[in-house]
Amino acid sequence: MIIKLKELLATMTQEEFDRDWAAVKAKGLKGPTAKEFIASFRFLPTFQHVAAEAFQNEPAQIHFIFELKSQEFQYAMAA
Amino acid sequence: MITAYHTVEDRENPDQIKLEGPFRCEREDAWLGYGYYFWDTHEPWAHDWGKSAYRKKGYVVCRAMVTNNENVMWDLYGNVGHNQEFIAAFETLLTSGKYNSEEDILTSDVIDFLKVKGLFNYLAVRVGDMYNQMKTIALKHPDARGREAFMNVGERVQICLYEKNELTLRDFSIIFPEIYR
Repeated sequence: MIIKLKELLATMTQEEFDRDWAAVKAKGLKGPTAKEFIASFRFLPTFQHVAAEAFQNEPAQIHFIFELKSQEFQYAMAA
Repeated sequence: MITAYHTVEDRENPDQIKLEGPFRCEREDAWLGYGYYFWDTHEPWAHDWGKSAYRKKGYVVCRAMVTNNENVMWDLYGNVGHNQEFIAAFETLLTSGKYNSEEDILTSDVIDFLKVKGLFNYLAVRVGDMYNQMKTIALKHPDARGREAFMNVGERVQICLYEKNELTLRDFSIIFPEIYR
């Protein structure tokens, strides 16, 4: 999936990308950003300082260092 | 298969729910994109959601068996490889040079872009829902290098099916309220 995504992004024009992205955003969905979501895989505010230190020698696990905003994440669902 | 729970508003239509459920969520807060949302395993999460989301009319809880096949389910809660795949998809989008908006990319944007381009290999996604009441506890014993260790507890887990078919879902039925069974 990722290899194909890289190939596709490398070959598509900016116009094609903008059109596809507009189709994605046309739904008007709200929710956590991808960065916030990725942060939730391993960082939590209560021990973020420990996690940052513990993970610094493990480059494979470090993609992003960013602050988790202290807001209520409460996205759920309904039919 | 995973036992999962789906909460809907009580519109006094149990026959329709049994026949047509689960129902596709297309609300703007469908944070994993449009799909059929379930709570993973723990039934009280479905009741909690019903009590908070459907205060006026009440709620109905349905149970089903949903897939946990790693070729069908993008397991962003329990599969490290799938975690890495999501991160890689996001990084690829972000560093491609094509994305030039100031706006942050949403979780659902990553999934929906993969779908729009026909690259999304899965029929469902499983995630921890970033619940604000999740707790982190320090474990009693540090690890071998003397670092403290932590464990997350109480994290709610959600499943969103993008298609409902025999690969993703079976045995859908109402379990609450009892009169609708």
